[in-house]
Amino acid sequence: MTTAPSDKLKLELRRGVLVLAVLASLRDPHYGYSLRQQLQDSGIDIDEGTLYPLIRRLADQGLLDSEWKHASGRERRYYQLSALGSERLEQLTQEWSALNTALSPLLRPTNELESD
Amino acid sequence: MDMVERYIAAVKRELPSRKRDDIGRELEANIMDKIEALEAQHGQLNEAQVSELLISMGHPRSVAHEFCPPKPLVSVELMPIYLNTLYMVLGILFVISSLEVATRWLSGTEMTLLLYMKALASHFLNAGYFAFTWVTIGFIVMTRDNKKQSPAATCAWSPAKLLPAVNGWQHIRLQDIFTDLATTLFLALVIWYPILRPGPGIESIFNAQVWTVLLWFTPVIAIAVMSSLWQLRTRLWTPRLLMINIGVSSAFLAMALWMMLNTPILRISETTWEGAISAVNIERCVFVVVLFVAGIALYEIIRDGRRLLKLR
Repeated sequence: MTTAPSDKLKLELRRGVLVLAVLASLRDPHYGYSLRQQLQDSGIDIDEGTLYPLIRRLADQGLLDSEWKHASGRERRYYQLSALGSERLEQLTQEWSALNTALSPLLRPTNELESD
Repeated sequence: MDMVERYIAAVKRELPSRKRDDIGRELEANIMDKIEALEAQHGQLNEAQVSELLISMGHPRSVAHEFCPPKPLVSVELMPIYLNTLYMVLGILFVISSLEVATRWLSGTEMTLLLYMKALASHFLNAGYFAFTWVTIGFIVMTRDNKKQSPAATCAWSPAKLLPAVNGWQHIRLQDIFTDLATTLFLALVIWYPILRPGPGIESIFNAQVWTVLLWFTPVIAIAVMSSLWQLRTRLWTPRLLMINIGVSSAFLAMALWMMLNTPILRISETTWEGAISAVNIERCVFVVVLFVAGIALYEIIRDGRRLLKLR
């Protein structure tokens, strides 16, 4: 199955933003499936094949703490933002805000710009 | 749940052993969460629905690669240096192989031209496999050690010192340089072998008059070798290099034309070639080869002349 060029661009655009979304969502502890549900409820649909490896990579980088918990005969790995992760999240949020401010005028339709 | 277990086992098989159990455990927890959520909506899942769910997660190998992307043996950062090293080493080996096999060919009595080509290919391939293996192993070790050598770190450079390269043709390919180098060194060896390794039965393959002229032609061959070595250093056609190449090609053209006018070129006796090919036919073949050399030299004179005009 091939990916259309527009889909590839979308994927590239989303890749960096997903890290920000995941880090922000993990201010509270979540296990893989519950994190995916929370992101979906917020309007961010992320594939499991992308999300679960991404969480592990962030944990490997020390941005997330993880802990196995047992409940009603099931075990789940819970992830939460670490101290380093909180620091990085703050930096990334500032970067995102600056980018958003810079991009917004550029993304306005041409006719809207002319009328200003 | 047998299908889920088999799926997780298939993913684990594709993972490195140190991460296998941890990722397998987490993947199982995630799949069970998903099944639980679906069962809460639709009731007990049947085999077909579980199968559909697993298919939606992706092929076990793809899932494993998402968790642990395969690492290339040689890192992307080292790849340009790796390829350059490989070409250089193989080029040098080709030159050495040509000289070694030519030495054996000239000292032997029964080695035909066909056997020479076969011996050259065999010698070069044997040395090439060995060099390829060791160069690759070296770069694999460097990749593992994470010793990334960026071009900026390996040598000091300044944009102002870079040679101007307006045209694509100005870049000289390594294989072209090594082919020229091997050819000219081979020719030098063929001419000088009877003097460098005198012995019973060792005599020049050329007739006496052609051989004498070829001996006087040696400085041109030396200039051609030096020019190739210079090309190896600059890797760029400059007006000076083009002029040298035009001079060398003109000398080769003149020599080839003179040889064609002064046949027979070779010193051949019927017994030397085992009677398989007649002396007349061999002489005719050599004449065609010399004609070909003259054609190549003429082509290079015209080509380099035009390039020189473009550069000026």
